[in-house]
Amino acid sequence: MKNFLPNSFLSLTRADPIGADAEVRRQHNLLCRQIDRNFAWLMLLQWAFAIGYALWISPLAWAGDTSYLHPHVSLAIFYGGVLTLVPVIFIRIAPGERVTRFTVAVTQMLMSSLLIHLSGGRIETHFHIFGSLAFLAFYMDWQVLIVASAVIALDHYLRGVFLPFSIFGSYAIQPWRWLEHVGWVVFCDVFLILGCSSRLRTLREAAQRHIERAALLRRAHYDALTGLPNRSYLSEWLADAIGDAEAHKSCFSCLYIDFDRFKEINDQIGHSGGDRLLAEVAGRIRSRLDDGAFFARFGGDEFVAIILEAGPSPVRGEEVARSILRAFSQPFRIDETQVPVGVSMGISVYPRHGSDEAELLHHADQAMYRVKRVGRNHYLVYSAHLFAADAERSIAEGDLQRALRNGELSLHYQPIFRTRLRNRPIGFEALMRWVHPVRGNISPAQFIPLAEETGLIVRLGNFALHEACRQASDWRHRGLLPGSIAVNVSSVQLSREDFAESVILTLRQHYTPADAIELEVTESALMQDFCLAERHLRQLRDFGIRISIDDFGTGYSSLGRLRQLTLDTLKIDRLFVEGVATSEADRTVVEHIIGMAHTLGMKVVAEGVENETQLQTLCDLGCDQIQGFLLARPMDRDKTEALLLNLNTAPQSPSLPAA
Amino acid sequence: MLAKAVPLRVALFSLAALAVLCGWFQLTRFSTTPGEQSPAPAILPAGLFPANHLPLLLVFVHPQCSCTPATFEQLDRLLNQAGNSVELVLAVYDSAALQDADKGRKPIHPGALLHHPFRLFADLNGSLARRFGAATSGEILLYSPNRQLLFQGGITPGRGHTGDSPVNRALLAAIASGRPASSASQSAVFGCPIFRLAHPG
Repeated sequence: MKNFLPNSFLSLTRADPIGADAEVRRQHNLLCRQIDRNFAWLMLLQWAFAIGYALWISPLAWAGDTSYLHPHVSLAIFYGGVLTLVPVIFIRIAPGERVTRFTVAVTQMLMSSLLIHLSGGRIETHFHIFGSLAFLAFYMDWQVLIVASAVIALDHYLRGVFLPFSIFGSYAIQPWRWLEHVGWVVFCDVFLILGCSSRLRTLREAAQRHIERAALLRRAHYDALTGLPNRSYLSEWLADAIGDAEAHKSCFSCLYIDFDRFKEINDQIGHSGGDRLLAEVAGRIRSRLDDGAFFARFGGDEFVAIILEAGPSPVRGEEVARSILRAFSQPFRIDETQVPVGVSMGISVYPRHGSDEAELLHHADQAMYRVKRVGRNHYLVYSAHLFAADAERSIAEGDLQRALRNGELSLHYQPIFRTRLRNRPIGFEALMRWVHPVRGNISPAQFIPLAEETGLIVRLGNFALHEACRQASDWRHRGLLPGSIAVNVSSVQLSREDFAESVILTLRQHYTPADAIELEVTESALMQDFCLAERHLRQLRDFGIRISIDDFGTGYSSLGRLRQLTLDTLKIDRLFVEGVATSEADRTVVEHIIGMAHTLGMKVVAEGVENETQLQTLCDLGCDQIQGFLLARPMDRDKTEALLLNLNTAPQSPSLPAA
Repeated sequence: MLAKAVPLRVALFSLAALAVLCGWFQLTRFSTTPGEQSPAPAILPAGLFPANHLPLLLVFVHPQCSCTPATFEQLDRLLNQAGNSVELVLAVYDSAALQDADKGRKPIHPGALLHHPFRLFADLNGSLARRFGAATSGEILLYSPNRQLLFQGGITPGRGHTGDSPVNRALLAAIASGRPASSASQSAVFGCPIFRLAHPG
């Protein structure tokens, strides 16, 4: 399994920038560790060599006819062993540390001294000192060289005093020769220290380049606001993690985390406050994750955490999700303002819920959106059967797009009548129908919400408007259309800046008289962005298009604002019409709606009239127009045209289709 | 308990320092401890060596002692300076037991002395060494042409080490003057025991 702890690459690209000095120290430490390892091997070999050398010179000492192990061999074994094993132990327990290289320097010089003595003070053996100094120079630490030189100088001084023959080949103490020895060592040191200095400069330059490269990598891989890995890095990392998990047969959870209503909070506290909030939120989530977890900002207010699991179930992932929820129970404080933030989380598990990065994230995202739909501020583990409906929805979305391309959609027209003169329709409402090539008729109640969610409603609305305008123009020019055709407008359409212009353009495109089209807008759609809606409706009404409020009473609206708009018609929702004859409450509501509409100068249409009692009651209450199955069902274009032709040819006795 | 009280690094440093001191002590002791000496006959016994008009330099060595090459090198230096004004006799210890113990081992070869004339004397069981009181390999006796002892002692400054020493100068002076060497006190012998294990090492 991929190691979730930062590796060396991560340390190079970590979010917190490091200075050149720290990087040089880090690189130098790595180098010293390598030299330490080399020294450990060298010293072990050197020890073996010292023993072999002592044996070669003289394995035995003699006393007459008997021999015994030469004391030099014993010294090479034991004294040489201490001089070897002590630094090797230091290299093992404290690699790369200064104390280790100083120990190496001191013991290496003492080993040189031992070898010189074993050789009987042969001048050639002194080259061991210079070789050792050259090797010690690889540490790039001038103090090590100074210490090594001081040790060998002291050793030679003491030997020069107590055993001059072993150093100078002379019975007498010869200070000038000792100085000569020291002089050559210093001469060598000067060269080596200059070399160290030069190599350190090179190392510093390399570190600077390394830092610059790391900074570039950091910029490419980390988010500047939160300091977390970004989406691109997450993607690379996740691909690696999947590869490792596959190789090691291990599992991990993918938590997709999204703030609830972040846009509203951002509007409330401003963008700079929003940025600070994001950083604090990221910190709070990070504090709830293990050190080994990977945490990235996916974009905007979305974050992703990857958590190692012991088994195929997201046990650890769920624990973390609960912990995050607890962490968010306390509000954040931004500029002395308490900001409560909720999070919705979706969890998917590798390999159960996806074999690649895109699938895992998609499923976690789906689970997170399900949480958003059902109430927010919670978490949900992805489950294939839970999301089967989503899959169906996805298929339906594709079908709907195809339906638009292939002309499977059409408009049906439901007549609208005056309440007291019900033999002739005074207009129609255009209603969309979808005949699926396999599934047959699909109810608008199924595909209109889908179209609203997916944004296809704009295309559907355009289609309906074009078709209605074309048909209204045709019938009007043939003298068939008595009033207007009402077309429903969705909130999405109304929120577009160019809505009014596009409607006018469509009417002009089909040479449709403005009074032949009526637009139906729900009160909720109106209130979403009232200023924009007001501008659109005023422009359209100035052009001559009639405007009506649809499904009145079911949504939210401000009567004060409605008063500002000049509307033509108010349509009472079928919910109230259904109980108007049986429920006193419904009757009262309808009565007041009618009274209010008339006061504001609007006509009132009752939708969904299905029986005579309802019709009679509405008549009694003063409703102007009615629409419903009692009088006429929606009809396709041909039947509607036949009705209109029939009305025109036999005005005395209209024959409406059976309801 | 002890490991907690004394950190590992301190323990290691202490061990290393102790080892360095012990090593130093051992090296110094081995190099500078002289071998045993007994007084040599003040007059060269008659009949042992043919009469000659040159001083006699009698050197007792052990054929396997690792200090012997240093003695040969020192002798080479001495003879280079003394020229042919001295007769050199090498008394090399030998015995049946040594030959058995020494089987397969080459004896120390007097390579440094090959360009000097010398006589080699196989000192069976060290009888000659005993007679002259030479207990340590590297012991040198200098007799004047009139058979008087001029010098007794070692010629190397330490075990297995060569180098300038006052002994060389004293010997040269004695050879040249025919009078006893002045620095007899500096004539300790550094080498292996020839025939008995008095002080091993």
